[in-house]
Amino acid sequence: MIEAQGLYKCFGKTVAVEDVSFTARDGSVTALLGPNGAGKTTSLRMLYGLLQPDSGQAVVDGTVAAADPLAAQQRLGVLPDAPGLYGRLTAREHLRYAARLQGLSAGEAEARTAALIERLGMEGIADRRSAGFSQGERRKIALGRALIHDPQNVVLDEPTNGLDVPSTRAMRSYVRELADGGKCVLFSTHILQEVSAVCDRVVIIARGRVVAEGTPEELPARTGKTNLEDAFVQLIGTEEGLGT
Amino acid sequence: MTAKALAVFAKEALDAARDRRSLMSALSFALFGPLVLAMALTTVAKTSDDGPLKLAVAGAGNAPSLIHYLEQNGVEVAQPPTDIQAAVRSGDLKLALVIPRDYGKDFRASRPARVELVHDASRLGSSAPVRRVEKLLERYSSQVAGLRLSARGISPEVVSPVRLSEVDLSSAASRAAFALATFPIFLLMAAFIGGMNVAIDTTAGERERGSLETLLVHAVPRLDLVTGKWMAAVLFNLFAVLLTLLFSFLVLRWDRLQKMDIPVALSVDDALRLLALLLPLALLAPALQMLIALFARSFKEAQTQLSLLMLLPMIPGLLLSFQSFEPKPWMRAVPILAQQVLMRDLLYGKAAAPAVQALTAGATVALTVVCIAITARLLRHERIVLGR
Repeated sequence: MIEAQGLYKCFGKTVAVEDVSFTARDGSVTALLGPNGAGKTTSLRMLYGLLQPDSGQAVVDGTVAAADPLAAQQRLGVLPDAPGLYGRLTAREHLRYAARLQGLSAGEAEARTAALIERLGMEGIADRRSAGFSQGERRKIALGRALIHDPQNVVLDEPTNGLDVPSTRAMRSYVRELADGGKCVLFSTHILQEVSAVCDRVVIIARGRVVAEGTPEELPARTGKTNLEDAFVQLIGTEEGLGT
Repeated sequence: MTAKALAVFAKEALDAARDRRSLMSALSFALFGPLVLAMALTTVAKTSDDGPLKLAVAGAGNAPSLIHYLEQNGVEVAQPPTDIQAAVRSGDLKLALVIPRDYGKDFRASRPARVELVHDASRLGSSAPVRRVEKLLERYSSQVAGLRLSARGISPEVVSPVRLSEVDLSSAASRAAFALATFPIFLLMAAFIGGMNVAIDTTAGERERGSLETLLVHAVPRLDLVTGKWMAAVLFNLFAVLLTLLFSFLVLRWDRLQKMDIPVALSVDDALRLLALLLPLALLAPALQMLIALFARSFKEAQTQLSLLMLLPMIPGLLLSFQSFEPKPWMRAVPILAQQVLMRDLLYGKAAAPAVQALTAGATVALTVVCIAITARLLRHERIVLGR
């Protein structure tokens, strides 16, 4: 379970995240939905310990991330904004490295790596160097890396961004599978269809604040609209959506 | 050493070994330094005045006793070309001695007998042999003068009110050190260049490619990350230092240099002592470079800054090698500077006391630890991590 409690973060004079609170529960997929620049990435970065909140706190399975970052990270699998691959390493070497970094023994690392290569369908690229891989292949390696230590919580920053239709569908099914297996999945997106397709809960974020939270079915009803898109536009404020 | 630090080390070493740029920077310098050293030493050897001197003599038959004297004093008399002046002008011949036909007549009549030394003073490397031949001719001249005075009942000492005798105190070892002036600088540079690419690639490069964020979301203590990366850079550094030392060792034991009679052979013991001096430096350099590279905005910027910064510690080394600059005692405790002083001492045949060496090594290692600790701390700063 991941809890954001009154997160606040500014860079110099720019307030990036003003007030973000929500809870992502085990066994469900929670989407952080918002327009570009709403503060999604900054919020996630505070959750996975890359940034320190100026006030408020991120709690992972009861551990305050700022107080014990390593314990929080141990329980988190993260797919950041940029895949950040090493061009001279193969897919298998990437997974093996991530496994060792998370503290798995050599034997465990080898077993987990082999299992994830199979599960994510990477057999064809497992022993090729990653320079020149397609977006979809890169994202698979990054996802495999995030899942290498079988974390209870998985945070994905725009996981389908830049992927083609088959890769997007594959990514969504992995996300669904994880939650159905009892994991807590939190991902950020600005794509509405994605939310309807895989999410149990939606947290709408705009201008650094949480403006609404609920199931994809609840939100249109709450705003008096018939579909999620209209509800979303109303919630984030039309000007904001069109202006940026 | 934790398992995580070792994992980082293994990954970075593998990554760097596959990077041609990292390998080349370590390798090329290891070859370049000793090559320059070989060239410098051959030049020194050519200008030294020991060994036989080839001298083309025209009209050797006109002065048999002079020729005999020259031959006794290490001169190999050779046949002159037909056009001596043209040969000297074109550089085919450095110098030639011309003995005119009436030499014998003048000599027997006790009149100054003229000989000509043909050379081109504007040519590099001609002054040493010219000076040598001049000296021999002067000595021959005063010897004959002494005999003539004695024959007339006058002691030759009457005409030498002052006798100059030079006492050259330079030992074989110190002359060798002079010839090896640039050697410590090359060794020092090897310790700075060998792992530089790895140090930059694993810090500024990692951030520029966007993989630093991913790396930092793993549950790894920052100190393990920095230690692992540092060890990989040290590995490349040691590789470069060892190769440079090995190639230098081979150059200094090269037959041609031995024949040229410059006493520069580097003993195995001295090579090992040099290595012992360089080891702490090979540890410090990557730690320093990683720390600095973290502040650079890109790989290229880090490379530029570090290349410039590398020249700074070379300045005392240059002063030490080209001037008679007597190092102060405190210099032996300042890392980088100390190694240069001690390397120079060693090549002068004065190995430092173990206590001094321990002090130098200790100070260097301590600075290395400080650099690593600061780098690990810096990786907690958002500005550094995100590169803003």
